[in-house]
Amino acid sequence: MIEVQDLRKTYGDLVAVDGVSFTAEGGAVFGLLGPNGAGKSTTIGCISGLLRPTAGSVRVLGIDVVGDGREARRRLGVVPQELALYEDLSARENLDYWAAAYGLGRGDRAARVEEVLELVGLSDRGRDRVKTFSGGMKRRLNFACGVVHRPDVLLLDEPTVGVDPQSRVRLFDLVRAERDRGTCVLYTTHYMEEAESLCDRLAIVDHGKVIAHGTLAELRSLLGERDLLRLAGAFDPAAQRAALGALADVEVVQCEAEALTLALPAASRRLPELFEAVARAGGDVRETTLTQPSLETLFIKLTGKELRQ
Amino acid sequence: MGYLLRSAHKDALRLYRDPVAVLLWIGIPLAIGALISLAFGGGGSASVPRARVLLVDREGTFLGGLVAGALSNAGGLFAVEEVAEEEGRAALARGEATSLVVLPGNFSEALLLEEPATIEVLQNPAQRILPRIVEETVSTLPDLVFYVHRLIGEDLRAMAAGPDEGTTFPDERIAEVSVRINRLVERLQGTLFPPVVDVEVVVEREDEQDEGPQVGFALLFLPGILVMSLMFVAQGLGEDLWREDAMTTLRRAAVAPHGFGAFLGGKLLAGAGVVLLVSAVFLGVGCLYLGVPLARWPAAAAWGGLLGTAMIAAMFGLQLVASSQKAGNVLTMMIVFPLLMIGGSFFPFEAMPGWMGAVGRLTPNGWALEHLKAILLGRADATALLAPTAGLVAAGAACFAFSTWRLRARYGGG
Repeated sequence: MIEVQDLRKTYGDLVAVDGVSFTAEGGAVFGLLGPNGAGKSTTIGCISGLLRPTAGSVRVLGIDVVGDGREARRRLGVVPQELALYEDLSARENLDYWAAAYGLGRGDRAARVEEVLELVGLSDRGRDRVKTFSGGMKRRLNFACGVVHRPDVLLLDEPTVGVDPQSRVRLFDLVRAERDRGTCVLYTTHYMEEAESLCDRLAIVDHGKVIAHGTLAELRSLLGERDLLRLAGAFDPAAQRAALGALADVEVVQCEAEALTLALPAASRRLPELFEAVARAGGDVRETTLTQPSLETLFIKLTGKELRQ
Repeated sequence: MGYLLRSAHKDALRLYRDPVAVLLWIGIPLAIGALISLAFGGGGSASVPRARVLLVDREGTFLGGLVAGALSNAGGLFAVEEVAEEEGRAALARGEATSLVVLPGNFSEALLLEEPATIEVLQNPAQRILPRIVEETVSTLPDLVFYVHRLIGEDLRAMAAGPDEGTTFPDERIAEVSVRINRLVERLQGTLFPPVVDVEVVVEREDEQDEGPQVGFALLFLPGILVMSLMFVAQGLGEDLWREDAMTTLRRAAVAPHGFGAFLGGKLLAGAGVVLLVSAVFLGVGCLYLGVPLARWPAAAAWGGLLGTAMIAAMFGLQLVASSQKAGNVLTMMIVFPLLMIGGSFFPFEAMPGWMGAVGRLTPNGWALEHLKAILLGRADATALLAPTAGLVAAGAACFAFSTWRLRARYGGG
């Protein structure tokens, strides 16, 4: 279990994490979803003890990571965004070394290393040096090094960046396996589809703050089953806001000179009515995009921008 | 302890799998040492090269023998052999001799009557210096003949003309010429062979040295080369922190419960193994080659290992002070090379001006080098080494503590 309370991390005037709070339970995957620079990796850094929080508290399995960092780190597994492997060593040697670094005894290590190699599908390549591995194999080994000591809490910092689709699916299976083992998994990503398919609970972060959190269903309900309609063209924001605001069940999410974003139920059936209102207010529509309710639409609704911007 | 050893094993494996780097750290100082040693005339046991000079006397008189004798006595540089012309030319063609000197058929006549003659000097093109020395030496012969003629030319010419037909030189005539030549030689002896400077050479030797090797240039140079090698190894191992940084393994180590102490300790332990091995091999070969008693080898190798380990700890600290790998390299280079220059690795203290040697001995590497030299020359016993050993251990421990602190400050965690 991870308990983060009013976490704040600053670098001079720059506020990287601004009062983040959430609780991640064991046997579940908790997602931290947000664009690059939202503060996800900084949050992970504070939880893993790599960074000292400016304010707030972080507890792992009830242990304060600042007060008793060593004990907290013993229970943690970290899979960093970058590959953290010794290319000159074999897969088996890498796993054995990191298992020792996390305090696994010599007697325990040999069996556990074989078990993890089997888990990530690298049993037949255990003796080979890592520099001969493909990118996907290295990713799997990177994951294996993070779980070789059977951690109770696993932190995954965007583990699928630059990973091919096949390896990504494999990694998802590994994460689910850890969850099913009872591990508390904290997973950061900026891929909506990953969060939707993997996470039991989510916190959406932007500019160092949690802007929404809950289960997938709870977050979707924030949209109220509303579709998101995005119009591109030339618009008079004030006139459009007045014209569209007068229509029933239409929420103007974004209204700028070149883009309009509207949230409304059953948008596809109301397109003629909407186009007529836009035209009456002097608007010229050149492109229309209709999106079903999803985390992506929720993020746009909450921040007014796309996740990958 | 388990993790410390596992960490050392990991780094030892990485070093073992990158032998080129280790060989470079050792090979560069060896190459520098070999070049400097050559420039200074080689090792203490090297013998002076001799030129094999083949002499062909077409005339076959006793004067040819005199030339051979004169060349043989010219500072022991030449080994002169009288040979048949064909045989001499063939030997030179095979590169078996330095020069072939051919005395002409009219050599006696030319010598006694001061007439023109040509002495042929054929050289071995594969050699550069020795044939020139032969040529220069032979070219002094006409000058010698000139001066002899100025002194006893008349007698020589009379002897060359021979006695009247059908007679021999009367005994009085031979005695007269002999006496004149003897008196001339006696008169000139004080000028030609003057005891101008009488140098008294006194060699002071300590008792212990009687058992030890002769202190030649090579033996003075060996410890310096070893220290240079250890410094390069230390520099390379220090730089490994940046390789770990690039591989992100340092960051992963930071979030492991054992922390940086054991991580860096393992690295130091692996490095200690390398420097101990380098010292042992280097000094072992040196002892065998230079005749240092093998009983001194273990202490010298242990001192080298300890010195190298302290150097590695210092290099960790220097790299961790720098903001980037490039800055770290510049910083260590700026420190390592001047220290090597003045600290007795490029030039032995004995070959430096007095003041420079005195300064060099005060540098950390110069100080350690002097102790190593003392061990090799049998001038240091175990009790005398206690305090320096404690100093070295303390310095290494301080550097290690500083490095661990810097690592924590930079990477957090651990």
